[in-house]
Amino acid sequence: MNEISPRLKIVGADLPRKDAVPKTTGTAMYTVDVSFPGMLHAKVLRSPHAHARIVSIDASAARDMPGVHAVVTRDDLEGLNPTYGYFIKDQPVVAIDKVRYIGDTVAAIAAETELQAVAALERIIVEYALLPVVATVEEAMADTAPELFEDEPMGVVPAYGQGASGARRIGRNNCYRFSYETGDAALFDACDHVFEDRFVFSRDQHFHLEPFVSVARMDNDVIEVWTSCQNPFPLRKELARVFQYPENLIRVQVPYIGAGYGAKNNCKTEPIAILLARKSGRPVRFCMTTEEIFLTQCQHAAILDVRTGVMADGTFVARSGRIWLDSGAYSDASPLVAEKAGYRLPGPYRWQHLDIDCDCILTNTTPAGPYRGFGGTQAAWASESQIDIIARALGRDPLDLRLQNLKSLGEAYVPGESGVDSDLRAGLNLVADRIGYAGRASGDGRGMGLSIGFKDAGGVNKPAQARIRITTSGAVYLECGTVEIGQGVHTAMSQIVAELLNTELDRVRYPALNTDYTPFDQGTNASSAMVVMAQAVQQASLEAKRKVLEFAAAELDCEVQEIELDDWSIRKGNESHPLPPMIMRHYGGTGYEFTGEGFFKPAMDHAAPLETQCVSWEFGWGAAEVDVDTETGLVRLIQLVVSGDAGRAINPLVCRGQDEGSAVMGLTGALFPCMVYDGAKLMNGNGLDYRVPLSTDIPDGFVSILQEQGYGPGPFGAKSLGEGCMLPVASAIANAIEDATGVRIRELPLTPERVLAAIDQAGK
Amino acid sequence: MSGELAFISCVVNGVRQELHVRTEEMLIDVLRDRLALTGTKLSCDLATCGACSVLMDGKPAASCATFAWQADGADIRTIEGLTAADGTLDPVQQAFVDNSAFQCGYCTPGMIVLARTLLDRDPNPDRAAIRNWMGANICRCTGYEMIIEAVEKAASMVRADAE
Amino acid sequence: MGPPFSVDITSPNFEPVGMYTHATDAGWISRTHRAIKPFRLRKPETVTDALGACADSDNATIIAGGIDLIRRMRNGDSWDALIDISGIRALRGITDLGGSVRIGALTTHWDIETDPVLAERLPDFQAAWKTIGNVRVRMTGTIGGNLMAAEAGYDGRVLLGAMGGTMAFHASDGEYSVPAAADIIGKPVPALLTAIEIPVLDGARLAFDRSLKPVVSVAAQLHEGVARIGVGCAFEAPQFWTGPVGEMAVALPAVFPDPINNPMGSADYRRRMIGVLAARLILAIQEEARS
Repeated sequence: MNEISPRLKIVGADLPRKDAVPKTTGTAMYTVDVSFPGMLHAKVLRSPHAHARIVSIDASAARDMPGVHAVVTRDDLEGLNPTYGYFIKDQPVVAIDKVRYIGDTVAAIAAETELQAVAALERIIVEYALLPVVATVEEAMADTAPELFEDEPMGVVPAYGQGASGARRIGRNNCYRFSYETGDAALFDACDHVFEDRFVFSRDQHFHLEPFVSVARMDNDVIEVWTSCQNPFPLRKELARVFQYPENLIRVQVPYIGAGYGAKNNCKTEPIAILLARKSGRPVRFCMTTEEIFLTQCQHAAILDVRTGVMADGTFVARSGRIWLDSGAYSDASPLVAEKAGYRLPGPYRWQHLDIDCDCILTNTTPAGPYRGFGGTQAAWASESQIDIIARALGRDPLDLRLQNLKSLGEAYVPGESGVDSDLRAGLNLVADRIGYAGRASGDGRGMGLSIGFKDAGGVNKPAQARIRITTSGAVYLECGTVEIGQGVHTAMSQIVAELLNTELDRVRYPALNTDYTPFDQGTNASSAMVVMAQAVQQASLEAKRKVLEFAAAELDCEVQEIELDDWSIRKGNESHPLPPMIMRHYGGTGYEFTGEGFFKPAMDHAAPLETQCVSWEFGWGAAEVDVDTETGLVRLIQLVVSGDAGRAINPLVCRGQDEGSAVMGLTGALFPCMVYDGAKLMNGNGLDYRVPLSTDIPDGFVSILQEQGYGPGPFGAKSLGEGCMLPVASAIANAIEDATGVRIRELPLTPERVLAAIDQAGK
Repeated sequence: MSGELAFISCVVNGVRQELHVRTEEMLIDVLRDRLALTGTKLSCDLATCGACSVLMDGKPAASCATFAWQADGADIRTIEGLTAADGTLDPVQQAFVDNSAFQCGYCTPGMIVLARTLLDRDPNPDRAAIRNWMGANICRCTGYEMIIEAVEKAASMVRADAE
Repeated sequence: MGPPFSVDITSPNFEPVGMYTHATDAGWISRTHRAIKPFRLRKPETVTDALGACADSDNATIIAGGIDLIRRMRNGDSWDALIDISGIRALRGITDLGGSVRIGALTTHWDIETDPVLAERLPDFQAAWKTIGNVRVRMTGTIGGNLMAAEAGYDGRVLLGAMGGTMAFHASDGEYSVPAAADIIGKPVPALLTAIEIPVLDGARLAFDRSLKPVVSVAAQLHEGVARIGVGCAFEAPQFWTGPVGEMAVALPAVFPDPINNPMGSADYRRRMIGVLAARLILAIQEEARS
C-alpha cells in the first residue's frame, strides 16, 4: 500500500515538470514581468488609523503633480458598484465612509514613476475623525464595542443541507455564523467524562514571494487585466459587477503565479488598476510591496472552545464547539472559512452528536481570508490537541485512543455525507512507526506527539469544465482553468491526458489562462485539482479520444472495438495507420481538430450538510519529536514525519513537494512568532522582521512519506494533496511538548516565552 | 527632482554593458527593465529573501539592495547567464529540473544562483554545509529538502564533470 | 579617558525597518527602492578625502556595503550626498599587532570568517562572527557597516564589547578610540570609523548564544576570573557588564536598564533569559577549560 506504484506509462512517473526549464532558466513569465509601452505605476495611500470616519478628502493638489495621470478617491467611483466580497459585499475599492484598519486603502495614483506617485500621494489631505478601536475578538464582541459596519452590507446566506445553517449579524461585529448539528445533545449527559478546553490559534501571513500584482489596460472596449489570481472566473464576475460592465468585455489573463496559498483570490489589486487605467487611458501596473501584502490579507486567528464527551472506555460520543474567527476588517472569505472550521472540528472520528457554531468577528486589523488549510488548520489544532488531553486523563496511549475512534474506510463523515476515502489507521500507524512512537523516550524535555490533519477536499458544489483539442498532427491542447501556482498542475494534468490519449507528455500543451478562451472554472483552491478538475479533464480526454476512434473506424471501415489509439496512429491488429494522412484525406487537404469537452460537479443533495457530498477527503498524518529546553522554553524540533495519501500519485516528486512544503508552512504557525500585533498595529509585517522557516530551521529528521492507497475519486484513483500535511504540525508539536514535559499548552504560537510560562505555571 | 548620472561599465552574462545610470538606480531595475533580464525577481525589497540574488564577482548579491553604480567594473551573472548559448543547462539548473526542486518558481533563480556560489567554492559540500548556505534564501513552497537534495546532486554532477 | 567628543551611531529617527513610511497625517505609503530620492555620489580614496566630503555637505552619509543604508533610504530617509568609502584601501585588512588584532572597517564578515590571523589569534571570535546573518549578507556586509547601522538586533557590537574591543574613529581634528562597550550617546559629528581593535588575551574564551533571537542574545567572555557580558536585542542599544565572574549572578540583570517590553518579548522574559544565558555560557567556558 505504501510503495509508490509502478508507472502506467506516464502517470506515476517523476517526469520533469513542464515549467521546469522556464522556472530554472528565468524565462517563466509572471504578472510582475508583464509590461506595456507607456505603462504607469500605481501607488496607494493607506490609512494610518485603525478605525476612523473620513470627514473629507482633498486630492486636488495631487492631480496636478508632475507625471500624475490619474487619481482615485471615493469621489471617483461614479458608475461603480464600489464594494466587493464573497458572501458579503463589504469591501470598498477605496475607502468611502470609514477606514477600518491600519493599511485600509484611501486613495490611489497612477504616475509615470513611483517617485512621482509617492510625491503626489503626499499632497493628499485627509481629515479623519477617530473612532474607538477593537483590535481583538474579545474587544470587538464587547457590549460597548463600536460596530465596524453600522449598516448591514449587501450579502447572502447560501442554502445549506441537512444539519447545517448560516446566519448574518447575530451580534456585535459578528458578520457570519455557520452552524452544524447532528444527533442528540442529551448524549452529553450519558458520557462518563466531559472535557472542556479553550484553544487559541495564531495568525500567519501567506508570505507568497510574488506580491499581489496586476496590470490593467483598455483594449478598445475590452478591459484587459493580467493578474496573479487563483480564481480568474469569479474575479471576472466580480469585476463585471463592480464596474457594471459586460463579463465578456473583461479579459483576465493569468501567467505563472508566484505562489498564493489562498491569498490570491477575488479582488486585490485589480479594481484599482482598472480604474486608473480607464481614467488615464494608459496601461497601469499595481504591484504591492511585501509590507502591503501584510496589510491586505492574512490567516484567521481563532479561539476555539471545544467540549467533548467520552465514555470511560475511550469511546468518543459527543462534541460541541464554539469557534470565533478573527476576520479582520472586512468579511472577505470568512463565512466560507467559518463553514469549514466548523465542519472540520470533529476530525475524522466517530461521533454520535455534534453541535458546532463558528462565528466571524470583525476587528480593526488586516482582513483574514483563504489560507492553506482553510479552517482545517485551526480545527486540527484544537481537536488533535484535545484528543491527547483526553488520552492522558484516561491513562490511554494517544495513538491507541485515536485508532479506537477513527472512522473506517468508506464510513460517512457525518449523516448524509460521503465516506472517507483513506484508511486512516494505516496512515497513522505509518507515521507512528516511522518516528518510533512506541517505546519512545518520554520526559526530561524529550517527547513525541501524533496528530491527524483533516479536511474535506474538492471544494463545495464546485464545477469544473475542461476541453481537449487534438490537431491534425496529434498536438494536444489541454484547456482548463486550473492555474499553475507551483503545485505542478500543468504537469500532472498533462500526464493524465497523455496517459489517456496514449501519447507522449511532450505532445500536451497547457496554455496559460485567458478567460476569453479557457473553459470556466471556479478556482484553483480547496485541494481540488486532482479530484474535481481532473475528472473533467479525464472526461474531455476520453471524449476527444472517442471522436478520433469513431473517425478512424469510419475511415478504416471497421468497428471502434477493433482499433486502438497508439500515439497518433491507429493500431488495428498488426497494422498501424498514421492519422495525419487519414485526416488530411478526409478533410480535403485542410486538416481538422478533434475536440472533447468535460464537465464535473458533484450532484446536488439536500441530505448532505453542504448541499453536495464532499468529493474527497484530505488527510495529513503527522508525528513530531521535540527537545524542550525547560530553562528558556525553546522547543527544538528533532523529527517531523508527515504523510499524505495521494490515492494514485500522478507525479510522485510533485506530490512529495506538496507534502513537505505544506508541513514546513505549518511550522510557521506552530513555532514562529507569526503576525505580532501591538493593539491594532502590526509590528513585524515586512520581509525582514517576519519570520518564515528557512532551510536552517528544518531538522535532518524531517521526512515525508507518500502513500498511494488507491481509493481516490480522481483519475486512476488519485486524491489531492497540498494542504493535508500542514494541518497536523502544530498539534503534533504541542502533543510532543506535553509528552516531553507534562505541560499542556493550548495557545499558539509555541514561542519560548509562552512555553516557559506554561512550564512555570505547571510547576506551581 | 533632479539627480546625478553615473557611468558604469560592467560585464553581464559575459557581455560588456556600458550604461549611464541614475545614482539612485538599483541594479535589479537595470537588469530587468533595461537589459530585459527578467529572470531575477523582486520580492521583499529588503535584501532578506534572496529572490533577487545575482552573482557579482562570484558572490551572491541582493540586486534589490545594490546600486547600479556599485556594479561598476563587476562581472555579473544572472540566472539567464547560467544557461549556455545552445540551451544546455548549468548542472545546478539541471539538478533542480531533475529533482523537481521548485514549485512556484519565484525563489528559484535566486536559489540556483546561491547554490552556484557554493559549488564554485566547494564542489564537495556535506549536507549540513548545503543547508547552512542555502539558509540565506527564503522559499515558501518547497520546505527546502528537495532543494538541498538538488544541490547535492548538482555537486556530484560538477565533480563528475571535473573528472 | 573618554573621547573629547561624542559620536552619533544611533539610528536616525524613523519607524522600525520595513514598516510603511509615515508620509503625512493623511496616511502611509509603502515605498519600494524606486522611491529612493536622488543624491550626489562621492568616491573618496582616502580617509581625509572622505571627511572632507562629509564636511562639504549638510546632509551626507557614508555607504560601505550599502544594505542597511539602502533599507533606510527605501523607507524614506534621504541624504543630499552619499560618500562611498568602498575604495579606501586603508580601511581594509586584518593585522596582527601582537597584543591585539586590528580589523579594518571595510573588512567583510566573510573576510573575518575566513581569515587565518583570526583563526590563530581569536578563534572564538571568528566562530561567533560566522553566525551573523547569512552567507549573502556576510559576503557584502562589512564590520563597520554592521556597527554603524546600530540595529538593536545586530550582534556585532555585542560580540566586540564582550571582548573588550575598541572602535577607532578619524575625525577632522584627530583620531579617537572608543570602547565598543561604552555608552555611546549621539550628536552628529563627522567621524569615520576606520578600524576595530580586539585585544588578544591569553586564555580568554568567548561564547555566544543567539538561539533566542530576536528577543535576546548574549555573548560572554571569561578571562582570568573576569567575565565580560554583552547583551543584544533586549535593549535599544547593546548593554555590557564586566566584573568578577563570582559577582555575575547578582549583577545580572540588575545592573541593566529595563529591557524592551513588547509583544515580541516581555521585559520579564528578556531579563530572566539574560541571567540564564550568561550563566550557561560562562559555565560552558569553565567546563571546557577543565577538560
